[in-house]
Amino acid sequence: MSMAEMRCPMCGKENPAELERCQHCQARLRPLETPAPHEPGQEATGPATPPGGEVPDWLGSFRQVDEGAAAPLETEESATEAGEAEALALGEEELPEWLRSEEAPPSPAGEPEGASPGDLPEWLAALHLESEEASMSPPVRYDDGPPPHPGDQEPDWLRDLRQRQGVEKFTPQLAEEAEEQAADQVPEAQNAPPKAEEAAPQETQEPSEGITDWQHILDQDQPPAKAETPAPRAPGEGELPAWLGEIKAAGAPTPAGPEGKAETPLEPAAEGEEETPGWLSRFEGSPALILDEEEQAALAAEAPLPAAEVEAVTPAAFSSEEPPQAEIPSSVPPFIFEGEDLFIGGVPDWLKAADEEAPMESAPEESAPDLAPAELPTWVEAMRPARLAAAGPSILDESEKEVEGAGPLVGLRGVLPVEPEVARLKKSSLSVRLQIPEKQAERIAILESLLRTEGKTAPAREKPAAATQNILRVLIFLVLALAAVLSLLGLGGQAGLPQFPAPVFDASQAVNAIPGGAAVLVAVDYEPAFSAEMDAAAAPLLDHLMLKGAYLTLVSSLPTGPAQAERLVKGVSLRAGHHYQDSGQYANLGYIPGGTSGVLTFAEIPQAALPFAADGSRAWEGEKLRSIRSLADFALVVVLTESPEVARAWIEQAQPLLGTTPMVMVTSAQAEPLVRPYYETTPRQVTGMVAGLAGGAGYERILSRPGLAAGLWGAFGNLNLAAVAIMLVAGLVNVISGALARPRSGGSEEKL
Amino acid sequence: MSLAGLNLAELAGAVCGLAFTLAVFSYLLGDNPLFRVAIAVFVGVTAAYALVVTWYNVLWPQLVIPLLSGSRSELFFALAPVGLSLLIFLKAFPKWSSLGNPAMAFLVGVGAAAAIGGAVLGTLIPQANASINLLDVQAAGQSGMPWMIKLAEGTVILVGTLSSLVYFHFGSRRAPGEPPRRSEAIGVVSWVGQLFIAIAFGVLFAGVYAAALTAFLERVQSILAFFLPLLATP
Repeated sequence: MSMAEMRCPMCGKENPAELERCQHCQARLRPLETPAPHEPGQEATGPATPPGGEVPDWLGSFRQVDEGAAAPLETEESATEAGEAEALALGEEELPEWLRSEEAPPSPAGEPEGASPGDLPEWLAALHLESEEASMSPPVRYDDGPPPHPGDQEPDWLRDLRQRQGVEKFTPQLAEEAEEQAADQVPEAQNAPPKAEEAAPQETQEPSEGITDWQHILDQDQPPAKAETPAPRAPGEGELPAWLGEIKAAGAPTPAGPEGKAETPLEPAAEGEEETPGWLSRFEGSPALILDEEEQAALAAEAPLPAAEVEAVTPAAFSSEEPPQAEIPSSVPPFIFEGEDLFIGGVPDWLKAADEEAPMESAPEESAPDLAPAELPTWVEAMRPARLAAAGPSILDESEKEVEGAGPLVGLRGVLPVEPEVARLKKSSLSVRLQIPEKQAERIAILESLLRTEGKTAPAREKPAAATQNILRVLIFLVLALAAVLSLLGLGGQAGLPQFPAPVFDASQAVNAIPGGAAVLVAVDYEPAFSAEMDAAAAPLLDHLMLKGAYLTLVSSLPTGPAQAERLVKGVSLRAGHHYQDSGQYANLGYIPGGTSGVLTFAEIPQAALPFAADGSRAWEGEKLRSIRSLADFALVVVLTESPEVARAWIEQAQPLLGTTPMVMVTSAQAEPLVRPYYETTPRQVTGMVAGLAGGAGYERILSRPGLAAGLWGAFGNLNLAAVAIMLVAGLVNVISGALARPRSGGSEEKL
Repeated sequence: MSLAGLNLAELAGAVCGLAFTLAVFSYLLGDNPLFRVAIAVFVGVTAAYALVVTWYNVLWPQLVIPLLSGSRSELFFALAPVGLSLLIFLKAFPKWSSLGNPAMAFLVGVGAAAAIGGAVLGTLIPQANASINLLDVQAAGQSGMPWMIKLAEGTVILVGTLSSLVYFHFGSRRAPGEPPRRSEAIGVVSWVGQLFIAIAFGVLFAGVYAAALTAFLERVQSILAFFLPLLATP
């Protein structure tokens, strides 16, 4: 975009510079508060002095400039144009006397005529004079070594370091060459700020008292040829970042030579030597952001600042009806100081006055007197919270905001929140409660109490010390144990053996039918816990088999079965006096693995299922079992089990393969109802049954050989009588207690 | 048998039996360490004994010996269970557990086939024939039983069987506007079946009670057998 054209702030299209309104969207191209564009050749002036010639204290301090200050710093032309224009408007008559007395002779370096120091504001004029004096002062000679540090004596180690680095001696010839180089490098420095920074004179900072020792060391690290150049440099160019330099290069070209440039010497680095560090003094005179007129106009059009805010942040000395464009603050200040840290000597008077006035002007009230307050209905008023929470989230103080420590935003405070504002909301101390009637409050309290007690378990009632259940349990045990002991001791009388039932008789007939010395398969498949009952039921049948001289082949589908079988045979043999030996009268084949499948396997091919006996011998090679090829070859199959499932497995898997071989079941009393149907079938799947103690006692009666079952049968009868008596007594007590409790409950119901 | 006639092992067994019997009886006073110790010992001894029996009665003679000194056919038949056993053993490792699936499938399949075949051929068909034959009057005459009694017995069994099966029939009809209900006929029959089922459970409980009472008697007898010789000894 050329300088003769102006971009519309609204539509962004280009327009001739002389137009007041955009030819495309009819928007105003120049804001009303923007001054007339700067005419080419017009001299820029610095900020005006306040009318009346009153100089604030802080501004007066600038007049006390050290005469031996360092080289002047050049200011940007665009940064001083607005101030100079105001200074021209004020005229020389309004200059204070101190400023008039400070008028300096014309600059020998070709200072523009129109840019006399008298047109500048007093603080800029003072800086200008200092720069001129510095430029006219003879160059510092380092013939005798490093320059003496004012005020402080340089330490030895630093002197040695300086000598080791080989500082070139400063001569007038070098100074002239450096001036020429600096004059040639000015345009380059304006276009390339980093190079200008490298070419900045380093030695010119040496006489400053504000420069510390470490800065001396840093200065020595710079290239010595350019460091000794006393030529003035563009102020702030060396410190400007690249992006800012580009803005400047594109929008505000600076004349290359010293004649053509409208320089305004600013505060030398030595000005703030007493209150400002040396490194900071180099930045004091440079503005934060340099904008040309068009950019200023664009900024003013995009975000025009209220005049009140401008006045609030602008010193009174700079305030005017039309603020200069160069004073438009950027959106983000380059440095933010907390509190009064910026003002070491205290807050200046003008700032205090501005603080007192600015808030009144900067916050215009938007009153709406025509709007009447709304009237809420009563029901809405009832639902309205009595105490609302805070209107909004608590805004954190400026001091709580985080300062960026890295990146392009380093040094800025509160630009990027470290956490979402939602998470930083402070908890309101106010509670939200509805205004409700008392009845509703009572109901809510009742509901809350119900909900509060719903999840809690009610404390259990304390049981009496001696639980009734435990007493009854022990009492029943004592009664049964007493009956058992008395019966076993023979004190309860002797009971006759029971009549043998048909299944028992059929079982005895099946045993009687086998030939003497025949092989009989006995499956001992009961758990040790039922050994008392099963031993009593099986003992007479085994006694009968021993009487017949049968060869007992013991197997079991339970791991504990072989031991049970061994103990059973030996016990019966011992009690009946048979003296059965496992070598020739019985064989314990051991455990049949596989459950139902194992039983089926054993029923089909017994020699393959159990090739060895429990003792490891080859039982099938014996005389009695040599002819056995299947279960049908056995003379009789006897199954001893307390489990209906095991009994059914043997019946289902083995019985169909038995052929004409009978199967006799010796079961527990609890399995009899489930096995009995296999005995009741026609043809019978189970030839005979001996169930429980009663079956054993009946079998002994058939054999007329009282044994284990007969010894327990009498006690069993007495025990049953005792149990029946307990049941009757307990039932009677229950009936009586119920009958006694019924009138009470009936009466209580009637009362209710 | 007096204690003097017992050898050391039998005497130890008798003492252990007495101690564990009293420990189990102590449960009358509530759960206590003695009862817990006795139960733990029973479970541990049973498991250990089962392991020993399985090794000496199954694995050693039927697997190890054929592999070590068996003939070629015995060796061939022993390798199959070895392979299947190793595959089942891999079920303990999640990464290789899938390799044990074929062996497990073989076991489950064989077991299910044996159980189903045995149930059909050994229980369902014979029991159905038995229920039919109960009403065979001619067969009853041949057995010498009066046909009236045979007929009554068959009728009771038939009614009990049918009514018990009807009791487990949960079909119902839904009338408009009313909850689903059983028909009255099925309700009456199922009530009869409920009677039969209750009697069957009562008989089962009587058998359990008789078995428990017999076990109690035998334990009391063993205690007396232990102490009576001591009391009789001068």
